[in-house]
Amino acid sequence: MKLSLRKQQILWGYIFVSPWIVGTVLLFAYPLMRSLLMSFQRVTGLVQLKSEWAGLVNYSEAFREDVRLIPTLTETLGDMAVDMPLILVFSLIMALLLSRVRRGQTALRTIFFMPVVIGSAGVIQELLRAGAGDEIMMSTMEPILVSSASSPIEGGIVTPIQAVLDRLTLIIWRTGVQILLFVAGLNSIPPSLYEAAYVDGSTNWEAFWKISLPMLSPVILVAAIYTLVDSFTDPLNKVVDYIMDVSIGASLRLDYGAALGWIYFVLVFVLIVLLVRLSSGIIFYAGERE
Amino acid sequence: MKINSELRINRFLIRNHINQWSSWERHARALQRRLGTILRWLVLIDFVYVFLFPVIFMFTTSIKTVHELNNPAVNWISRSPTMQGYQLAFEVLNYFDGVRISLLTSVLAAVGQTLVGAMVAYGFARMRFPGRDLLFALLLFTIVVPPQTIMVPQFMLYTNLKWTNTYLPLILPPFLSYGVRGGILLIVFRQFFRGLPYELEDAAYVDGAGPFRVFWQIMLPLAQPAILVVMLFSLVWTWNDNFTPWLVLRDNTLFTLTQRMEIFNSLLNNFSGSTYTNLEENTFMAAVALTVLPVLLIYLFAQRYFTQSIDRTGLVE
Repeated sequence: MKLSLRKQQILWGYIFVSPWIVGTVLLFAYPLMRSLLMSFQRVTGLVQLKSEWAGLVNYSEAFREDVRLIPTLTETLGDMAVDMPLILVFSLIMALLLSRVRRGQTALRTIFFMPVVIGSAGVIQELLRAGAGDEIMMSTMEPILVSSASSPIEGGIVTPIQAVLDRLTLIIWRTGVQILLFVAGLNSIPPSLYEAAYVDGSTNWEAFWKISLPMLSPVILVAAIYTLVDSFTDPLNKVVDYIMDVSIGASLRLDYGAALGWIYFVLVFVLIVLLVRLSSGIIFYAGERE
Repeated sequence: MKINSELRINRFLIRNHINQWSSWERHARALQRRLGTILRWLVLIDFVYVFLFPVIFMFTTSIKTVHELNNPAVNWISRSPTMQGYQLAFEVLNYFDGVRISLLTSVLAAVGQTLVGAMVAYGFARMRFPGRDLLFALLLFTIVVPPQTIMVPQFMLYTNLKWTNTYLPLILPPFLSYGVRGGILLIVFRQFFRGLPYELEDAAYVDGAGPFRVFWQIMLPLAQPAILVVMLFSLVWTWNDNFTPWLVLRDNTLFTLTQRMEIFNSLLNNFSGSTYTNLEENTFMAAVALTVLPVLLIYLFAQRYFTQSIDRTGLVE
């Protein structure tokens, strides 16, 4: 039997993506549905994994009785709200600086990307525990802090600044991929745009706001989503820690862990949808037609 | 960058021509530019320091003697460097065993993720079949679901398959393009394939090659930069992964190097038979250094090709 050319093409398409489809069914769709089901159940026998329908018991426990869930969630969200803009602005500045450097760019990029390679959660944890975080704070920021502590604006402005500085090492070590994205984004902006602007008498400052930033806006969204996903799967994240503890820790409460996992996922998903929605008016797609 | 500087010169020439600038103004311009470069480098060097600080801290602390650790006068360089920390950490980690396990799992995972990932992404980028866009939307969706949400059924699945305490859950999912952050790596490949010209494929099809041959013999060799990027990311992320190993490995003689480092404290206690009294930072930092050393070396060897590849991958359209 000879298939038509179009049918052959379709068949080959499915063949090419078939490993992913198998993976999605086995390692994604099935576990996702199973955990949704489990979150409405109560596991009665751990050995044979017997479970019975329990309705919303797990969810009501999470929101009404659990003393750890809500505080860890709000704390994580609060940290996120501080970290995300810092990570984005910092990596954008780094990328802008890098793109202006002619010699030594490769070496600089090697260094700025190193935390991604070796900065696993465990390593960062160990380093922070050993004091690598405090010491850099002290050596670079102490003069500023000391002078601001004695100034009249103390309290109002110093506390948040200090909170930011405390997280500096952590934040900087999480910017590798974002810097990479921004550098790639900056390189992909057609030079003719700048050329036209400069001929019309634009300054670098104006060119940044009127060309670089709008052209980068889709990349900024990608970087923001990456930052969000990255921080929400980070084992240093307290919510993740808590879910792991509940479901595969000593208590081994699989049903409740599944419910927590779903609450967490819905929250992350809502945040990403919000991010995409809110940014849709701001983002400029240069290649967009229709 | 080069174009940028040429542009600036162009602009400069045009303005100069129009305004009949005096030579004083020209000098001021040149000076301003030079100052800008110096300032930029100052800021960059400052950040290089911040980025490198933890690494430098790790290595310098690891070779300090116990006495020097508590001596604030010894800031950076140890006056009598010692390898005692390394010796102890080496034995406690059972280093060669750990390296063997970590290297085996991450290399196999990286190979699987790269080969299968390239194939799947090529399908998404270049094949036309019904439901493709829907499947791609699903792929994007898989990225934003935290692994913790699907962790429990996955754990049960691996238990039923009797895969606990084996490396199969670390090695096999990448061969279904479900390695650590497999979704993101698929997108890197897809973006790359979408950027390649169609003419090469068309020519091969006209010459009678089948789709798989076109992929294997024409597109894959062209995808070298993307392959390098995906392979390195996959390798490093699997090496540093502290999710799946904790899910499936129970016996601590089977632990990956990263896991061993994370429970270094209790390993040390087991090793010495009782609570270790000499919990010194040099040993801890030596353990961390030993854990990151293999990936650090691989990265430094590959980095030249790596940064070039990033530019050619078209990470951003």
